[in-house]
Amino acid sequence: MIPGFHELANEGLDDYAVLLADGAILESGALDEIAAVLTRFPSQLLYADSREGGELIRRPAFSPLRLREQDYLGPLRVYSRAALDLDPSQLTDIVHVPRVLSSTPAATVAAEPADPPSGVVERRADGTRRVRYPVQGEPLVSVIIPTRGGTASIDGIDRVLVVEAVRAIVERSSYRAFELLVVADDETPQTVIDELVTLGGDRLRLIRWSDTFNFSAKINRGAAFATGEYLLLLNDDVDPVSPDWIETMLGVAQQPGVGMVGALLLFEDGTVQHGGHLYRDSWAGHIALGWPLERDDNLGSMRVTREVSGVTAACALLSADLFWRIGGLSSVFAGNYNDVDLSLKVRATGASIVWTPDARLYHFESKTRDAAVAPSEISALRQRWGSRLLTDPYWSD
Amino acid sequence: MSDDKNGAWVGPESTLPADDLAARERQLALVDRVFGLEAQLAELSAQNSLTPSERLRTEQRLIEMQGSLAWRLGRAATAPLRVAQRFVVRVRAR
Repeated sequence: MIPGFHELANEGLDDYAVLLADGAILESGALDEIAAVLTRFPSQLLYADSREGGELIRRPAFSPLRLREQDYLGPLRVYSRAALDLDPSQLTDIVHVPRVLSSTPAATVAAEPADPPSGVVERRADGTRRVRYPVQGEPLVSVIIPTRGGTASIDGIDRVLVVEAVRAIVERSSYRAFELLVVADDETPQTVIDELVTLGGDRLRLIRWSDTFNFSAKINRGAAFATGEYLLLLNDDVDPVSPDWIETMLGVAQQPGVGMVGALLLFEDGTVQHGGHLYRDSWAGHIALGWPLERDDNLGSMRVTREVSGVTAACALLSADLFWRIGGLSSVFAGNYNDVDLSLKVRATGASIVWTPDARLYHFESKTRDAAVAPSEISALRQRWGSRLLTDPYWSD
Repeated sequence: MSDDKNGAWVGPESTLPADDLAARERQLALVDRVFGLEAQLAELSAQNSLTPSERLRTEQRLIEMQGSLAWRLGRAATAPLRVAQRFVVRVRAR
């Protein structure tokens, strides 16, 4: 609730109230713009981009989980009378106007968000607010890893990627209710299989793949064998940094309205490989690709758990129920864009996708990876989701 | 176990009855196909499927694009063609 607003409402407030932060001013024509938008889209809450200390601040579409960690709404908010008593993160009918409607002479200090209905508020090492969501129960997580047992040089040492990934998960993950489903090509070296059997023990299920390469079909094959309530799709070239990565992702995935959860992935040199997906101009890419870990945008987006348009299937967690309801990964996308398609299918159900910086893994993908994209994959993606790839509601950079 | 790189690996492989596995994978493929068709259908009425924030953002992108130098140069370069097209339409209408 906004302090003092209830009293204002009782004094005969009209349908909407414009709330401006101390020191902020409305841009010329802002009220006309607000009235025009509210006429088209009557809403509980409206907010907009702003200029603060001369800097343009573009804001994301409404992101309720982000709002629990960071008040990103800015200096201008327009509330409907009915919404005055409600916490913004509980609202459902919110409009973001992607135009500058207010400005402040200096950067505004955002208010601390109200305590969330679930979760424990903590502070990260950098002082940002973190909401930790304890896992409800102890659901089994099926970790699905497609592999052909390849090796790569990491830190100058040749490593069998899938063996090291399984070793890291088994030895370093603090969440213990998981099974490992390794979908291995026929050509996987026998020594790799033997090591996996030794490392994985009872948790390991080896599944054979004898067909031609199709990443999506391999994941689906793993899902057909999975018995867990949740599926964790994982590339074989990852190495978890945070011991609590599974429960962090699981706790977020259990929040109402959340469909799929992704993690912060880092290149071998510590720069960012994945900060969520970005869909723009009929193209899909990674947010913050190649950024140094300490770099951020002017909203501080890399330090908070937030809604995104999609996440990479290199590390994504979703419920098995949702996976089956949306038909898993589409084998139309054998090598590329299968995760973009998966993300958009998840969002088409009305569920959100959330990325968290608190689950952190290395992803030993080459920075210069130039995946061969089949024209049929691009064509299929645009046929299915053309309008969803034009502008990204959650990232404006 | 022997390290035979020419043959398929051997080990404690998980299996399902072939019919059962095929049915599960077919289920995923069929649901995906339906989803894909529904998504294509939604694309045909994309304006109705966008949220208010997405519509406003798309409109803003259009405004920014139409204000760009590339757009204005393109409009200027194709102006004679548009004038000629209007002329042809008018002549045909007579």
